Amino acid sequence: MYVEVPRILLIDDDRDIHESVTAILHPHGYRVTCCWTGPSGLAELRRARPDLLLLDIMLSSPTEGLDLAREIRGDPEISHTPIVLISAMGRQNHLPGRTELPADEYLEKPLTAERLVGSIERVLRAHGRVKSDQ
Amino acid sequence: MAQTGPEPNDLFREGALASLLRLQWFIRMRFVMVGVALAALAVERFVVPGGYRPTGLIATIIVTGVVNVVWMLMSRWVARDLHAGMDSHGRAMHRARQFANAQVTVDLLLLTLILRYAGGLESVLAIFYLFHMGIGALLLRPMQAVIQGTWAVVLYACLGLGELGGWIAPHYDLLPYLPAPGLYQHHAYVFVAVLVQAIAVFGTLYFTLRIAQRFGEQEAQLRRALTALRSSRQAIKDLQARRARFMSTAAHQLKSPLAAIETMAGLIRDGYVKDDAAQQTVESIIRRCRDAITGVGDLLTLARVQQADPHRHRTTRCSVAEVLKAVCTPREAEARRKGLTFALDLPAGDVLSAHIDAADLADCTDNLVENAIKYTPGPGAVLVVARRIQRPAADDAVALDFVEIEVTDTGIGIAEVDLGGADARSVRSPIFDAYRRGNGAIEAGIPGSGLGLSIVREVMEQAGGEVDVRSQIGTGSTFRVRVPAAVEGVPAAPAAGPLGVATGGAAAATSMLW
Repeated sequence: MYVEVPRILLIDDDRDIHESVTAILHPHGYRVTCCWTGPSGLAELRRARPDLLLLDIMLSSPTEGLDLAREIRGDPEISHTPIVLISAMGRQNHLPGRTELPADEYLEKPLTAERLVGSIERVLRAHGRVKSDQ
Repeated sequence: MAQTGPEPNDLFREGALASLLRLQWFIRMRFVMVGVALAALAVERFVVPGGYRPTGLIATIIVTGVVNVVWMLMSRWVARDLHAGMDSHGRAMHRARQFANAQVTVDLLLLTLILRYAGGLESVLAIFYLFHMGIGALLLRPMQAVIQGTWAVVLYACLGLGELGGWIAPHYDLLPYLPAPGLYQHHAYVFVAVLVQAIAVFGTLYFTLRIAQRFGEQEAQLRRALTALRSSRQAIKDLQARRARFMSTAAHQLKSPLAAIETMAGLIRDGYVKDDAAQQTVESIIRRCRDAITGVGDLLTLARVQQADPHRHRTTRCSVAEVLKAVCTPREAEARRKGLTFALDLPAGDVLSAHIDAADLADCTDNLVENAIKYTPGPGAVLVVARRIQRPAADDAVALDFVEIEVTDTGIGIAEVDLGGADARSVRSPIFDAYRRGNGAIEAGIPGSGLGLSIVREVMEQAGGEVDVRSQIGTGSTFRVRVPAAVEGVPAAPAAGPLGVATGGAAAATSMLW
């Protein structure tokens, strides 16, 4: 199943990141919805069922995003949502050793247009949500 | 001596008893004794062909061996119970003690029978009574050991008095080929022998019990030291873990604005931002630079507070009224610009002297007032009240004087979940944790380093003060701090503060932030 205009939900407490992500993804044909907190983001995810979730790890607490990703993965209704975790902290700081990432990919901030778009395309393609030639 | 031993002695005795039971030490010793006795009698038969030994002696030694087999079987059962879980430890230990007690009782009886066939009152084998007293005093409860001592003296006396009075047949000699002097027939000798035996038995018991008691106390001291060492090691581990978590969180918070700045600058460079919007993006970059500088400033404040001597508050006095005036004057102007009414309510004629460093108190109150203004949209109100109060100490024995400062706003409020539940209004509320921010604040897009309240808590812990919060979404919040009041001629209390955290160096080292 592929979609013409993939809808991306961004959960991040940083408004500048909202504006930057929207500025990057909009010209590439994505529709971006932004939420600032975990609870409001989860509600939006359940309501709108976006094609991909961009989730910041450090929200109101240092690991709220990680906990949220695990909650999503454990909920059969929304567990199939592709998740890209983003954080200014390296992956090893959040998940030391071989701990499994409760997401499809991890992107370390600062975000660049090339890395962000590349990651989203890769994950959407893996989930069959974009045309393979896109 | 006849009283039940105190706990340290019990610990020592229980340890010794358990280890000897595991080794089957009594059983082995008894088998060795039986073996040596039988071997000695066999050798004697060849070396001294004319020597006559009564069948009763051989029979008693063999009975000792047979009884020992029974003890051995029982010993495995008792020792297995001792290995079982801690729940049944007390019962198993009681059983082990009774087991050892029974062995000593039967041993003393068998020893008296052996004396009967090997020298009677005059026999040097009587020294083995003392051997049992030593073991009894080390392993049994003092009362049990004394009863065993009495049992030994009674047996010995019965042997002597029985022979003297002719109620039992005269004993056999220890060495049949050497004529014995027949001292057992003399009243004076029997009396002296029983008296000396009694003195030796109870003397041995007394000294061994005293030594066991000393060992017990030393062991209890060692155990206490070990427990303290273990808890210190755990505290250090926790401290290191908290420090590592804090460091990585702080690094993240410092990196976040830099990452946002790089991302936004990249957008301009790569042409994602049109020329007309570039100015706005540059403004955002400048704002994020300021955020980063504020974050570093807060971190430095926290570092300064943590590095400072925690005792400084007790030796300092400051006027809370003066500090609040200095803090509130610039903040009042800021509040009015935002359309808020601002009031500072101080008691007339009282400078509100308190034991707290003035600069630290200024940091704390400024953080609280800044938050109140920041999280209150206009039109609204911010009220700062300070007053002197008395509250009972932890043990309710004496009332302590505090200066209480309340900062109340009519702002967005903090959700119950962010406060850590309905009852979590105290210093333990997670809202005081470093880099913890309420979802309401994030949702409203209000910037903050997430360190302000943790600085407040850090200072209050060090000063022996208190901090708590009451808040309701949409209605507003009240943050309240209480600092020990300075009373003329009375120095600050040196002990733990009302927070229940020692206010010494250890408190600074194990503060909740790190």
